[in-house]
Amino acid sequence: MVVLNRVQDYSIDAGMTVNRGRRDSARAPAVAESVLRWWARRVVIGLVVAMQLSAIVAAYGSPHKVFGWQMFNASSDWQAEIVRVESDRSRHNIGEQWPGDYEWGQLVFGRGLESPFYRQHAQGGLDTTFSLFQAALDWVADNTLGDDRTVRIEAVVTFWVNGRDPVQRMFVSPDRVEASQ
Amino acid sequence: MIASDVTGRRGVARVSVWVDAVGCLRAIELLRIAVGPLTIAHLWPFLEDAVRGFVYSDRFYQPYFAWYPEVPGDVYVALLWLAVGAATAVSFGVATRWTAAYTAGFVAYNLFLSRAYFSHNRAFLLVMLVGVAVLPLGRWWSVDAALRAWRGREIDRSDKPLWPILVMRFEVVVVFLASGWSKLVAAARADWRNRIDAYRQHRPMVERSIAWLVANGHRRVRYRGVERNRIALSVRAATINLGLTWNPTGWPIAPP
Repeated sequence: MVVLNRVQDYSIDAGMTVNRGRRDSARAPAVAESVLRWWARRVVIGLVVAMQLSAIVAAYGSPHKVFGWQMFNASSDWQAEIVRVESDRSRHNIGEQWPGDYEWGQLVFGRGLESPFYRQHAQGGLDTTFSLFQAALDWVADNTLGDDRTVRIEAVVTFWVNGRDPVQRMFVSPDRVEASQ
Repeated sequence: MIASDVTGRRGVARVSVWVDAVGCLRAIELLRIAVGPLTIAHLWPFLEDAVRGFVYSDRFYQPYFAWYPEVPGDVYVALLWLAVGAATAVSFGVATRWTAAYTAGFVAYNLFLSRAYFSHNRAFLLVMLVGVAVLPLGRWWSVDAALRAWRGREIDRSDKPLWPILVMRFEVVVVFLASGWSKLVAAARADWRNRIDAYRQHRPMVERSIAWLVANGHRRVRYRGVERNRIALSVRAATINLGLTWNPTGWPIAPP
């Protein structure tokens, strides 16, 4: 195996303080290592740096800021009024009697989605909240098999961007096949 | 050799100093000790759910990838409790590298299991866990070290490569820079863009005319010839000053 004989002229503690010229305190007088390790270290570091920077850039175009470190989102609030629409077009608030005895708070949890009925801060920003809320509506429509009356779930979301005037937006789940059977 | 070559080689050499650095890892053992309770605190809500009989699939969840493996509920609960045990073992320094690797692996799996689980502090915990798993820790203040000493075996406390710490420090710096950039620079730019668009949409007619004139290096006039443009501009300025608007029937005074 090819080996590099490299002499370290410095000693470094875990705080990464370089003590240049202090050979008497050097704790790594000589290190022999393979070329493979030498390159592997650089490749791994380069990959981590590239992936991290890519995640930061990608976070600007995605509602989900995974490893994008955009921790201070806008001071926006939101609340939702969720209704079940039955086949006779009647609309029932999700908090009322729900066929199958489901409860929204037991089906959906996390990022403030479990209690959307009250005005609250949009955790992670409005884009993230809306993306998750739509996904939650879809999931609930797909996973409430005991409900044979609801055709779809609709929600009117009222949101305030940075304390400005309220704006409303409609969210609709896909039509459920259980209600038509 | 030109000066830039020298500077470039010095830069490469300086980076190599950091990448190839070796040193004592005793100080970073404190992170290993701290990361166990932090991981258990992170997993606590999932544990509470598991005790009550809920697993991830009983509630809304949305994996990051369509191909993401979704383990059955019982297996998930077993892996969860194993992760709690592993996190405890990391703090106490029991089979440190293996337990740290498992803890980091489970936290990563759980984090990507649902977008609803994501938060930045959980992502940062994962970064620290990976760092602890990659570093050869457990040589100070650990059960592993105590057992080796009790058996009369030598404890390897020689200097080790420090590049994982370099990566962790990079992550710490990136967290500050990226969050600061998103809050200050990007948000300010978006706000500025919104203001510019709103201004362009609602600005007074006189400013619209001036902007139209000075666009493209002040080289834009509607008509050919100086006199024609002088007349057109004079009429336009007069109509603006008088509050007139043009319609096919003439120049009526605009209603207030």
